[in-house]
Amino acid sequence: MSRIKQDTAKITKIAWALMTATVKNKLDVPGEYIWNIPTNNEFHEIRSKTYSVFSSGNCIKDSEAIKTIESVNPSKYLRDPWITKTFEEYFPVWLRGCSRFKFQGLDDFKHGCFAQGSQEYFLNYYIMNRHKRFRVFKGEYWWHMEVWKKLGLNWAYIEDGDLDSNDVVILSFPFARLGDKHPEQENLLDMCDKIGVPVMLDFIYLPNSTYDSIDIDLRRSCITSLSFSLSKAFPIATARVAIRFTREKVNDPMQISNDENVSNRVASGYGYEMMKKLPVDFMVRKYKKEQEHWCHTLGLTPTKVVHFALGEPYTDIGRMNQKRFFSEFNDQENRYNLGPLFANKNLLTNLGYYD
Amino acid sequence: MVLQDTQEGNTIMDLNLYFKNINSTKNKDPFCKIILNNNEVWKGKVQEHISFKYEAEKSNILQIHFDNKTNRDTVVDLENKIIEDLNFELEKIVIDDVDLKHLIWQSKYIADNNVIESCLFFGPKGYFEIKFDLPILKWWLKVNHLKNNNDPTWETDYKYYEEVCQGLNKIQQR
Repeated sequence: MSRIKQDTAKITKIAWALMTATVKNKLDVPGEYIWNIPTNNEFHEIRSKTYSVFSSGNCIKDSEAIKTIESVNPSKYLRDPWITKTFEEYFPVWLRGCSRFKFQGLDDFKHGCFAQGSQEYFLNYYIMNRHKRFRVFKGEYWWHMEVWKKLGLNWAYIEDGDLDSNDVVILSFPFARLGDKHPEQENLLDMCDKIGVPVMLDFIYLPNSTYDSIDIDLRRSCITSLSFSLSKAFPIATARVAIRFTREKVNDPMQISNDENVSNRVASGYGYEMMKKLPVDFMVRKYKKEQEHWCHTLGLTPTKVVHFALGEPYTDIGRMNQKRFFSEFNDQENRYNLGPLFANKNLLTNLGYYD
Repeated sequence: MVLQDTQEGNTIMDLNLYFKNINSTKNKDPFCKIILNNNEVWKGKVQEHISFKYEAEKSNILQIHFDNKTNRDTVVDLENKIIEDLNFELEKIVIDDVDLKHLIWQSKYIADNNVIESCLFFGPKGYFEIKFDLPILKWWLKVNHLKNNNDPTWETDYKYYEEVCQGLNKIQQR
């Protein structure tokens, strides 16, 4: 299949446009993270930030979703002792609202537990499996490896050796670096089933997945926990709204806090209201065409995650030199986050970059 | 960065000079005269910060003259150790918001027909001279790369930066 040649010059220009507009306060939607906000108007400062424009996995900063978030009154949830339970019970209902997701066995994961972002349930997974060896594919969410290294936990890439019975696996679906199912996912799960290795499936990118129809078979015995987050579905990553489902109740610190009813009610409230107001595939419905547009314009390949595309690295000094942001494990040189382009359509149109 | 064009096509340059270690004697303060392209643009007692705007050309020569120094302004003791002197140092040059940083050393100091390369110390009577082009950022990137060979994409990135700045300015003006 032929494909349009990547327009690296235009990609780089857009990176400059977004970062220069950031410092001049001209973005349609202001940036969210200080690591991607130039601190001044100086050329070198802006240039240093252009290298990471497309690097993150962050959500599309959709203005309609932002307005919806702003309509929430978070303080009322502080006095609502039921909100976390309500959030936990409503999440599967909301998830099933997308007819494209064909779950099998989801009901077996009857223990829902609110988490303050995916990082909380990951940390609890590390604690509960601290004497085991953690296994991930190369290109998995870099935070795992960074934390394991810092904590001195035992871990290895799946590509670097056979699984054994002392291993535990974390696998994102769609896979973080590819924005699609990892080509070895089924083989890995077969092996995990065979030797009894537990697997946590991380569905953080599922709400933004564009599959026409996707069978998600959770009946395998190796799959012991499922993780979901609203961080990629809606621009509320910093509110830390996530949930874990397990077959058996896990008595880890996160669950104990949940049982004590001291989970973050503000986050639970944000999550619940967002789910009530917007569908799980809100971003897909709104931005699928934009993904196609930008991939065609820039010569990138769309992934099955609406805000991701794949391509060659776009800067000599940044990506081609394998500069990795935050972490040596942040191996996302070829993955482009198109979210900033979607969110700043007016700006890019006015600058002549949106054809 | 927005350069103001003049009627002749030249630009109004915003120049900021920063001096340090300004030493006076009992009876005298150091004075300097700033000459841009053979035009005297500033004259007076040396201050920590001297700032002015002036019409500049594409290629420019900036001179800072230290004229009021004489041999009598350097006082030594019996062991020939200097106990009092009239002098100062140039610390930083900022043109159109661009700090020349290490490229300030692409300059010379001329005293008594002696040329001292890369000298920011105004000791003897004489003048400091630096040549540069406008736009200053383009000159800075180019000279920096020529000198250090560490910025191969400077020209492309400069082009993108300029294009974006012009585009954003147009949006602002609408």
